[in-house]
Amino acid sequence: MSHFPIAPSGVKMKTKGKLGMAGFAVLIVAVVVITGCIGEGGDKPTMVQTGSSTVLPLAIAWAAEFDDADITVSGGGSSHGINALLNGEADLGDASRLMKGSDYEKVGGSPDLVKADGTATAASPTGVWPYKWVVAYDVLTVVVNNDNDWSARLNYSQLYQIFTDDSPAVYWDEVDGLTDAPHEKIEIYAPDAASGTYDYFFDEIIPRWGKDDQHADARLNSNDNVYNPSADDNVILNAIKSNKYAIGFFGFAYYNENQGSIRTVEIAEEDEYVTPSLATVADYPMARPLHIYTDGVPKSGDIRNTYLSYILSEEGQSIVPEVGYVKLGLVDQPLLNEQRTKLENA
Amino acid sequence: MPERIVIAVLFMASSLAVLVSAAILYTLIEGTCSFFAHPDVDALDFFFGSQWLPTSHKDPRFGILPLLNGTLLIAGGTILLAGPIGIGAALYLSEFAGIKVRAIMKPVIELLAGIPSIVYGFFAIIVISPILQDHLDADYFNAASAIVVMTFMVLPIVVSISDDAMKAVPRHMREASLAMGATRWETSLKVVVPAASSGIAASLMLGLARAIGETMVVALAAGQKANVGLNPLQSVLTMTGLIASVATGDIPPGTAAVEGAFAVGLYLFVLTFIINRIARRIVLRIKNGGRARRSISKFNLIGRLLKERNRRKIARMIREKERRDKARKENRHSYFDEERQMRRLRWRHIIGKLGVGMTMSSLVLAVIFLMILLVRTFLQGYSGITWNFLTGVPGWRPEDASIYPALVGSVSLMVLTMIMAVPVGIGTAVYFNEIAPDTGYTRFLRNLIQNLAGVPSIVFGLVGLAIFVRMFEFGPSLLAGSLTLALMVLPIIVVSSEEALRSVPISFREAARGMGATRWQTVRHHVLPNAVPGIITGSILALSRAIGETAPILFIGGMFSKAVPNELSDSFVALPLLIFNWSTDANQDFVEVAASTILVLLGILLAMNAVAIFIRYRSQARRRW
Repeated sequence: MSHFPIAPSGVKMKTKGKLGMAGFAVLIVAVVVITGCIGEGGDKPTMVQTGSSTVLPLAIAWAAEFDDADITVSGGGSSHGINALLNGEADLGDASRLMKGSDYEKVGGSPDLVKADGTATAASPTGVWPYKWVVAYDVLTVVVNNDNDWSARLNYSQLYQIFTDDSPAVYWDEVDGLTDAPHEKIEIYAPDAASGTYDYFFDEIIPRWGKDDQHADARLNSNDNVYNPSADDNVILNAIKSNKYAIGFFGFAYYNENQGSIRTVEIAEEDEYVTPSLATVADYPMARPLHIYTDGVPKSGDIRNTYLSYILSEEGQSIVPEVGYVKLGLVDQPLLNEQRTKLENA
Repeated sequence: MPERIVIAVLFMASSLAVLVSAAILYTLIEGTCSFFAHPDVDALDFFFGSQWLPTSHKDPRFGILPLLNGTLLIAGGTILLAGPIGIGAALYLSEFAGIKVRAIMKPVIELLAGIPSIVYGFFAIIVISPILQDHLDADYFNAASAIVVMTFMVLPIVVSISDDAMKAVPRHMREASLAMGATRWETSLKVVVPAASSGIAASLMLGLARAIGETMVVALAAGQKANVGLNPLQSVLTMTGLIASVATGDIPPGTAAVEGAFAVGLYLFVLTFIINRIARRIVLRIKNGGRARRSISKFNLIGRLLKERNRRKIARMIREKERRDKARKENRHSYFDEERQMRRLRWRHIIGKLGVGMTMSSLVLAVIFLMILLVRTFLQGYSGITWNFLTGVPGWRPEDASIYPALVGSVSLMVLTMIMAVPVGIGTAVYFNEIAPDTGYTRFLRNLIQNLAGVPSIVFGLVGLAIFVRMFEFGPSLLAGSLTLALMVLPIIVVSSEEALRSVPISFREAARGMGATRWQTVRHHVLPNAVPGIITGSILALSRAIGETAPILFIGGMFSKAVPNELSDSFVALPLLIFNWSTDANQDFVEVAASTILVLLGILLAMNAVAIFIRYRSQARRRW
C-alpha cells in the first residue's frame, strides 16, 4: 500500500464524515422537535398503576374509560405491584394474591404487621400503609380439547388425581369415574409455579396447601413430565387446542374470548357440578378475588378516591364482564357496599 | 493539557463498565445471600443437584444442573447453527455480492435484529414447533424450536460484524492472493477470513452472549420444565426463562423460589464471565496459529490440541514438499503434466463455485426466514394501521387501540438511549483500542464489557428498577428507562466500535504520529473518521435492540396511558411493551393489533437503517484501502 495518497484522503474523509454525522444529528433533532411539539401538555393529574398481569386488562379498561386523570398502567406481577406501592413508585398496586408479611420484609418492615387477610396493622418503614380493595373476581376455568367427550365434568378428587403427584393417573381411563375415557396419556398444559393462578388452583384441590403437613404436591414437581408449565396463557390455550388428550386451567377470560376453540369442564367440590361462567359464580367453587392496594384510604377529593369510586360504581363495574371477569356485586354485595361507603366517608 | 483531559474522560467512560457490573452484582448478591440463608437450601445441592423444584412445598429442590443444561443446550445449539450460516452470509456479502445486492441485503439482515423477541417466540411456538412435532415427534415445548428461531435472531449480529471485519481487510491482500493464482473462493477463505478472524470471533462471542441472555423466546417456546439431557426435542428450562417467570410472577418475596432466581442470575453472570475468558483465549490461540505466548501447561487441553494440530500440519507440509521434490527429480515431466494441472484447476474452480453457492444459500436462508416472518406479520397487521391507530387517544378495546403515546415514548426512549450510550460506547472503544496500555486493568475491563453483553435483559430490568428507579429515585420514568436501555446496549456499541477501530490500518496511525500529530489528534482526525461505517453499524444494531426490547423496561414502562411523556421524569409507554401485553391478551383480536404495532416498529427501524445506509455508503465509497 502506498502511503502518500492516504493522508489527503483521510483529511477529505474527515470533513465529509462530519457532514454525514451532522445530517444524522439534524434528523434526530428534527424527530425530537416534531414529537415534542405534537405532545400537548397534560394538565390532568397523573397516576401510576402497576402489578398483577391478571388484573392488568381490567386496569387498562378502567384507565381508558376514566377521564379525570392520566393513568399509566403496567404489569410485572403481584409482587412487583405491592412492592412498587410500598416504595412509593405506584399510586395503585394490583395484586391477584393477598399481601404477605414477606412483602413488608422486602422493604425492611416486620412481617408480623401483615394480617392473614392481606391487610396491615401499621404502616411500613417506607411510610406507606397499604389498604386492600377488592375490585372484581376471576373465575378459574378448567379446559380441555374440543374433541374431549369424556371429561365434561370433574370433581375435586378427580382433579386431584390428574393434577397432583399423589398416585396420579397416567391414562385418562385411570381417573376414577371416567370409565368411558380412552386409554391415552393425560397431558397437562397449565400456568407455571410463579403464577398466582397456579397457587390458587392447588390451594383449592390439595388439602393444607402451603402448610407444613401439605397432603400432596403439584404434578409439576414430580418427574413424570406430564405437567407442561407456561407463563403465557395464550400458549396454554394453543397447546390445548392442538392436543386431543390435553387438560389445563387458566382465568375465565381466556375461555371467554376463545369460545368454540376449547371446552370448559364443569367443576364440583363433591357432586354439585357447576359450569364456569360469569353468571354462575356464586355457586362455582373456584373464584378468586382481585385486589388493588392503595396507601391508606384516599381522602375524598383525592384523585385516587375518585378513581376507586369510579371502579366500584355501577358504571365501572359494568366493564368487568366485558373483560372476562366477574362483577364484585355478584359475589359479595355487602363488601361492595362497605367499600363504597368507606370511600364516601373518607 | 486538553489531551490529558480527553484521555481522562475516555478512561472514565470505559470505567463505567465497572460501575454497571457492580450494580448488577449488588442487585444479584443481595438476593443470593438470603437464598443461601434459607433453611430449605443446601449450597451443595444448588451446585450439584440435578433437580430444580423450587416451589414444591413438600420437598423443594434447588439443583442448578437442569438449568445449566438448558442454557448450554440452547445457546450452544444456536451458535452452532448461527455461526456457519452467519459467517457464510457475511462472506458472500463481503466478497461475492454485487454492490446492489449488498446495499439491499445488509439492512434487510439488520432488520432481523429489531424484531421484538416476543415475535420470534410466538413464531417458534406457532410455526416451527408444529413442524418438529409432526416430523420428529418433538414435545409441544421443545428446545429445538427455540434454537431454530434464535439462530435467526443472533444472525444479524454475526453477519453485520463479520461482514464489516471482512470488508475492512485491505484490498491489496486480496489482490496479492489473486495474483498468485488463487481463485476468488480460495482468497476469501484463506486470506480474507483469517485476516478478519478477530472481527468474526467478536461477532460470534456477541452472538453467543445474546443467545445465553435471551429470555423471551426460551420462556415461550422451550417451556418451563427443567429437564436434563441433550435431547433438543424435549422441553428445557433455561436460567433466563426461570428468572423471567419468577420476576414477573405472583410468588411473594422472601421465599426461596424467588431468591433462587437471584442466585441463578449470579451464577449465570459468573458463567458468562468464564465462557468469555475461555472464548477469548481460544481466539488468541487461533489468531497466533496455536503458538502460545508462554509454554503450554500440562493441563491446558485446548492449547495442547492446537499445538498438536499445528505440529501435524507442519509435518504434513514437509512430507508434501519432499514428495514433490522427489517426483520432480524422478520424472520432471509427469509432475508438470499439463492435463493434470488443468484438471486440478478445473476442480479448484468447481470447489470455488460450490463454496460461493453455499455462502449464498446461507444468505438466502436468512432472507427466506425474514420474509416468512415479515409476510405473516404484514398480512396480520397491515389493515390495522389507520390514522386513528397512529395518532388517536387509546381506548381499551382492540378496535379503539392507538399506539400514539407509545410511539412518542419509544422514539423519545431511543433518542435518549442514543445520547447516553453512543458517546460513552465509542469513547470506551477508543480508549481501549487507541489509548489504553495493555494492563491487567484494561483486560479486566474488556472482559467485563464482553460479559455485560451476555447479561439477560430481564436482569437489566431488575437492575434498572433497583438502581435508577429506587436508589437514584428517578421513579418509573423516561429517564430511568433510557438509562437502563443504555446500560444494556453499551457492550454492543463498545465491542463493534472496537472492531471498527481495529480495522483501520495501523499505517494510518503511524503516518499521523510520524507527522507529529498527538495521540488524540490521530484518533480524532484519522482513525475515527475511517471507522465510522463500523461504528454506525454497531450503534444501529444496538439501538434496534433497544427499541425492540421488552424485558429491561418491563418494571419501568407502562402498557397503557392516554398521555404522552413531556419530561424526563414522566412515566411512559413503549411499543414493545404494548406488543408484549397485546400478544398475551386473551382477546385474539389484540394479536392483530400487536402485528400492526410490530409493523410500525419495523418502519421506524427501516428509517433508522436508511440513515445508516446513507452514511455507510458515502464513507465506504471513499475508502481507498
